[in-house]
Amino acid sequence: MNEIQRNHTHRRKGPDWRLASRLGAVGSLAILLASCRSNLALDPMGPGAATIAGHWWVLYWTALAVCIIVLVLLAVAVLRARRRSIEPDSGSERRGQSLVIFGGGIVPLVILLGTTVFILVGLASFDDPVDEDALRIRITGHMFWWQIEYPDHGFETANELHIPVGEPVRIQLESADVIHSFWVPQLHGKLELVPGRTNELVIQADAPGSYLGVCAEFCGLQHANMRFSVIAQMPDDFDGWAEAQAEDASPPDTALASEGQEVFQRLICSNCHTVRGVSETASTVAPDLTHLSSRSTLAARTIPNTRSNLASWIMDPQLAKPGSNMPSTPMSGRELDALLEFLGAGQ
Amino acid sequence: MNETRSGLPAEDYGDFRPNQDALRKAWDRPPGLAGVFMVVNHRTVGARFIVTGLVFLVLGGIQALMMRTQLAQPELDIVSNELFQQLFSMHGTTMMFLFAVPIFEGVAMYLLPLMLGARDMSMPRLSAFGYWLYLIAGVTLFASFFLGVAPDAGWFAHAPLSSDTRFTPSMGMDVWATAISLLEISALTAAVEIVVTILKMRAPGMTLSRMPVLAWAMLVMAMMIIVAMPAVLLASVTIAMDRIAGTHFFNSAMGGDPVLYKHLFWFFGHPEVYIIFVPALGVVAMVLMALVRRPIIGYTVVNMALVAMGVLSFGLWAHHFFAVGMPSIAMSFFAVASVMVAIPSGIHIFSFIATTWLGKPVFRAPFLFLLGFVLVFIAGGVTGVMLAAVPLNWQVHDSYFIVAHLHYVLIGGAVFPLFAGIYYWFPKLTGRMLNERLGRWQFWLMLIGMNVTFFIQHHLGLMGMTRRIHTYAADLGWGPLNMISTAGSYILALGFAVFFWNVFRSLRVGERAGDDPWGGPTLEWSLSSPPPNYNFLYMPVVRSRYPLWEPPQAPADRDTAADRGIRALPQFNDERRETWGTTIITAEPESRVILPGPTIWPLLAALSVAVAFIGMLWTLWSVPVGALLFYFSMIGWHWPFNKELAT
Repeated sequence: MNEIQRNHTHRRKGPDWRLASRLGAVGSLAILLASCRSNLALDPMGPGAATIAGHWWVLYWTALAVCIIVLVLLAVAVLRARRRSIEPDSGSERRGQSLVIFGGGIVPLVILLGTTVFILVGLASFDDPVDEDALRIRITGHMFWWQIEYPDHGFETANELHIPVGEPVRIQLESADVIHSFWVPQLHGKLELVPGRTNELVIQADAPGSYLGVCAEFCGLQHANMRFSVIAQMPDDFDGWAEAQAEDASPPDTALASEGQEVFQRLICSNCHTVRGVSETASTVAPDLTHLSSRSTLAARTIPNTRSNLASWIMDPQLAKPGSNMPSTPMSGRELDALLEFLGAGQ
Repeated sequence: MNETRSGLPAEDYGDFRPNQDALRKAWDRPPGLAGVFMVVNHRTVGARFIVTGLVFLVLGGIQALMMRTQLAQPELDIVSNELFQQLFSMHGTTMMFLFAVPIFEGVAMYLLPLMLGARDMSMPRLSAFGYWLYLIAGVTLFASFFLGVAPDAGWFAHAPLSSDTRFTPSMGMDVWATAISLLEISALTAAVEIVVTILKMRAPGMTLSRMPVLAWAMLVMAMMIIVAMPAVLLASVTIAMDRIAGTHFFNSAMGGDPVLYKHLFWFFGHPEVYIIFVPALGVVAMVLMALVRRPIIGYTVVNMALVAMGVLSFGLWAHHFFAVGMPSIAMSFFAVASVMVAIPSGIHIFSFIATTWLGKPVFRAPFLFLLGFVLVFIAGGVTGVMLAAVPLNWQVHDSYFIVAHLHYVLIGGAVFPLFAGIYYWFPKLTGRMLNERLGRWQFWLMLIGMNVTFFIQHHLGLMGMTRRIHTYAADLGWGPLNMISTAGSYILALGFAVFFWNVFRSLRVGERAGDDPWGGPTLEWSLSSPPPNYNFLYMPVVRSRYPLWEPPQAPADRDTAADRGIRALPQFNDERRETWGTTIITAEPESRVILPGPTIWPLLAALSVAVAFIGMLWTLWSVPVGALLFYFSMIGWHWPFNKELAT
């Protein structure tokens, strides 16, 4: 073997990368453990997400162990070779080959076969048949909002998915335009909404609360603001909510609200939006606005549902959500007031 | 000059002496502007691929920085959502199609003939043709970006978002579909000639089992391109047809299926990762051997692992869309394949460890980058196995966990090895060393920057942050980690900046390298730096796996099949471009291959293809016009201008 080039032997003592890497490993572990609480997917609130979080921790510790073993071996290899002043030891070639075949082939094969069995068993556990009587909810993805229908109750809403606590709920997923993806990290993994198909995901929340839901598959300009809330309620509360939602909108009870109804029809709102009991034709192009005031956010969990937000959203939707399909509708202040009154906007 | 150092000793040539002046003249690059457009020499074309790839790396990096800046804090408005989606679509397209694949093709074109003992690639005009197509496609994509109509449906352009002009009305996706088609043709031409060069043009005596690991890796890469690229060519052409000609391949309302697109794209898209990773492993093996000064441990298993990786990687494409809604049995199959593909990587990592263990590492920049490769890649590798767990995949799919994973795999598995390779071969390309101190700075900045940027993105993913969002609400609590990630991306960018400064500086004042600064084992180190245009004055005969590390042979050992084959064939005509044609397995000389010289036809042919594809943006008439132009350029290409060659 040839000599080291003389002109390159003036190497200084290199930086201590081993120490740095060890510090890095310890530090990253600390960060991970510290941030567990905020990791929604690892803070499961339903059986689906709980099973997956269990998978995560098994795989995580296995992966960490593998990383540490490999890096320690590498560190030893480098250290050992560094300290040694003798020429390379060609007699140990055979031992080296055993290391490659055993450490790089057979041991990984055993670990990975175990992992495979673990994965397949885990996957099979999601194949359990669903209770046919479970509550069915149909969700249709639109650019960039969620149409939510409760066929069992006969009404439709948008961007707020209410479910009863402690019961499996069958979510049927469809798309009206492009591929979207339904993801509530604390309840379950994601499932896509594919045009021309119906996918079904069974979710269940174990405790009441409001959970973040997002569209996970890039779907266009406002993909980032295509969120929703899952509101899990005690079964009685849920039933009360569903009953109230199933009602038609109450007819305008003030003069201003009647004027607002007229504005809603006269301007282009009613071309796309429906207010049940008021609209002459039902349209599903845009969110159903019946009982809008009962929702806590607007524009697919983009802004809080306040009177001023609703006003500015109606006047110029492109401001809060550029690229959304809702056009801005010029109207007078009086018309806007009337429309807000009609939609039941609070003060 | 020490051409005979490893090759056939001069006396074995008998009365024959190579005519150096004639060789120089035959292999000369034409001067002036004509030369720029007509050159076909493998080193020039290869270097062009590498330099162009690095330019695109910078552009793609700037795009990434713009995105990280926008995401540093919640609800920033530095970059509009419209620009943001062009940025991430272009960043992915640039890094995968314009940087990673072409740069490794360039490495193959530059190094293979030098390593294999040939005077050029098997089809030099095809190299040039491929380069021109690549350049035209890249320039087109970036022209669209600077004109504000860049692709905007992500680098994998899922249908129907990408295929339906109602959803992506701008010209961007048309540009994507046409430019990507050109790039695939370019990659296919490179792949075909890489395969032929490796199998048919090795030095006499370089049997398959004596071939450098890099050549094995490039062979696997090229084979994979040949199998994978037609799928994405089909995908991009059908996208273009849906958009431009109104077909309905992916329109479910008309009986098409968006999921079909996912299958087509990812049948290419997953192997694509290995198309980048496999040559990088080849680079790792070559640099490692020279830097620890011993042959790689487990040469045979290592090469078998490369082949296994190439085959297995075609069986796991569907793990890119486990969330699309598939039967469990299908998911089980792809999950098992996704887990098992880790084994060949394990072999490589352990071969790395064993070789280092038994060697004597020289702690120079290339070796640091190799260590960086293992450190970073191993993290990406284990998260890759975690992603094979289907239910867990449902959680983290399309989230920042994936962003973190893929950057660990690609930066660890391809960028660190690439820099190891650049520090290692830069002296061969330029005659000068890259600066060692700057190399260390670059390494540490990159290693720290990379980990700061991407490690916490795993957590962001688990916190619910999805990919491709241009902003996020403040109440989601993603702000602090995103800020850290952005800071890391600037550190990483600084590392790249140090590299380019190092190149710029070393080209002018770098230390003179000499022919063999690392004591490398393979034939390229027997040549001057940079090598002459004809590469080898005396064509080498290879008698072992590491020709430069073997003691000189006694004359009695110089009567192998290779030697007899050489004597049986007529001598080289140094006045034209010639190299050995050898048998596939044992590399016995069977012919002298005549290679073409400088010509304008590859450029004209590439322009014709570009007219056909890019013209589609305006009118479908461009297709017949381009086809006709291509027909004429093919006549020119094959016209027997050289009377001597025609006979």
